[in-house]
Amino acid sequence: MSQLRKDPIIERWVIVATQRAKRPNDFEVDSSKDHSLDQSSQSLSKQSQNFKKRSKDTEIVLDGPFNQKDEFGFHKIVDDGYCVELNSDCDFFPVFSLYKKKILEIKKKKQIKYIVVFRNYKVKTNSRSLSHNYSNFIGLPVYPKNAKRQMKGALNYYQQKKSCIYCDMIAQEKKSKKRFILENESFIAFCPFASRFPLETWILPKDHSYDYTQSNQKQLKNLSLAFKEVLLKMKNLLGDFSYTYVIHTGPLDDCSNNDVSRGYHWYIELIPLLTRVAGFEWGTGFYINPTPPEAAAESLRESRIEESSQSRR
Amino acid sequence: MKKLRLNPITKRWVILTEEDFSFDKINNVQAQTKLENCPFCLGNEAMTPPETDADRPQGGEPNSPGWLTRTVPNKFPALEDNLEKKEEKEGIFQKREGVGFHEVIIETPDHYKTMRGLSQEEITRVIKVYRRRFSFLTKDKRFKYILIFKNHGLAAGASLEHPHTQLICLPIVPKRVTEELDCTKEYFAKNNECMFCKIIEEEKKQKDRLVLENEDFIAFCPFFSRSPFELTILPTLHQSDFRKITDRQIDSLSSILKELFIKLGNVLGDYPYNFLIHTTPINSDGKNYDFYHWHIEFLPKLGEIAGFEWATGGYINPLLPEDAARRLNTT
Repeated sequence: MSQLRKDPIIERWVIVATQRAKRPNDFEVDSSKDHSLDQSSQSLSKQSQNFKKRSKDTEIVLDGPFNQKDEFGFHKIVDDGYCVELNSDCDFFPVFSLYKKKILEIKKKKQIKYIVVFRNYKVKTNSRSLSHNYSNFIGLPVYPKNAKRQMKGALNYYQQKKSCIYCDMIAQEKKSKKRFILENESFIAFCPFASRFPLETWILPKDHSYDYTQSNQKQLKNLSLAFKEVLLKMKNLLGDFSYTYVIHTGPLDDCSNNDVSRGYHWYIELIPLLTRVAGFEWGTGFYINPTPPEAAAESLRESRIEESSQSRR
Repeated sequence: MKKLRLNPITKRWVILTEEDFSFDKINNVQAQTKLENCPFCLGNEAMTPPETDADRPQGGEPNSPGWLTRTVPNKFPALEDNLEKKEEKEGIFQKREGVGFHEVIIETPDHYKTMRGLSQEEITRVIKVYRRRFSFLTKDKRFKYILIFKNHGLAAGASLEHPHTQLICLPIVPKRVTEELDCTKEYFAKNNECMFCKIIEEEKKQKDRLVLENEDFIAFCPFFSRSPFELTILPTLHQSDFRKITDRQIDSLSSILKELFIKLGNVLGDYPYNFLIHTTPINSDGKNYDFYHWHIEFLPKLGEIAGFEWATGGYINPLLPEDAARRLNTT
């Protein structure tokens, strides 16, 4: 049996298996891969310490029916001292503080409309520059499709209901508990209703905020604790696994006086890489998820992590 | 020099990083299922659900040996046939029964004969099955879209080694297709021409991304390639609906595919890939899709899709399509 579920924000449908479903610990994690950084990526990281701004041209160059922009965005790779070997002693606070500092810096650059912050942890990608364990900052002169859809969906919802769709989602997940994983004073983690991937997890600030950089010290501290706890729970289920996470934050322009700031809500999307994107996903843009988010959340809730992390809080 | 390119068909951006792109040629992508318990092999017909289509030039009973191609319902379908189309609410969320239909087209009785190894005649036979199943399944009014796709190799999502194509009937028109339809419709309204026809004209003129061309089809690395060696294959004459493909066109298509597989094999070896057909929606209550142009997308799978792609819906491609085309053309 399967179900079609719709992400209410960007209206994306997902196929979720409800029978013959894979339990979260049914996945085989390939730990035989060589995870060491190759030389090329190390030298790349050094040369990428500086912003790679190539051109100031903001005009779209027309090439037949095609649009081409020479890059005037940037891609920065930062060695942020990430806790590569995950254990309960890891501290992610410096990483999340660094993100705030960097995004604030980038905000000053007027031509950059949108920032993507992400890490591909032990993932083999097409592009060598993304294939290692550094944080990636990509500043874009255009709003990417997904960001546009998110903002638009959140804005529409706000204009109709005068509330934030993410805040409403948090309220519903807290109440129903079906997809809930954990929470602390400032953050909540759950598996989203229309999860595209097994164990896909969202971590959101409980207080409404559209902008990552508005987080204060205490919130960032709580974020790093919630993040670590989710990762440890996943590790307990999956062993040594690869994952990717993305910070979805609002537009870089000041939105404090418009509805984007009221309707949008920043969050972290954390995805363990257990399935492969194949022809169906490429062709349709929607995803087949073999693990219902309810089962994923249940396993994560029950996944016990070692004592030391609790005592060190 | 890095470039951002916009795909006018989907309005998605691609970042081309022009790295010093190298890869290891792979000669055997898969060795997953053992031959003796392969459900798609000759003599193992009882291991699959009963067939819905087969090529049996010598005749013979259904679900017995003697076939050249065989189509069966997927034993582990992503969507199922026997469901009602009903919608439910859960708070702010919306869900539906996963009604649909999922089939597997077994391309050859030979377990080890990948599409690359098929003769032109055999490829022709497989494309005729696509057309036949497509036309037949269109009759079910619950379905709004049919996707034909092929995953080759474990990394591209194939769970079975034996050469096969999949077909999924969907109760909704998927987002990616809606995007293409919206953009090409808008373009048509503005310019009174098909965007794909315009792209063909451009590719023929610019030539630097062109890979192959015959009387009915053209194959090139698209301007806005999402991954290295991505290829688009289009019928050169305007045609919206894949079901309308003629026998002659099928011959031309299999000839171009045969040549492409040779070129790709020379450059990439037996790389994992995804292959899919994009065509017009079905049972769309008389809506006109004349502005659309069906096509095949071919994507070698050289790495995982990860953070950037999920966050943005855009892609980072380390190899310029012009360079990819040149590499394919110099073999």
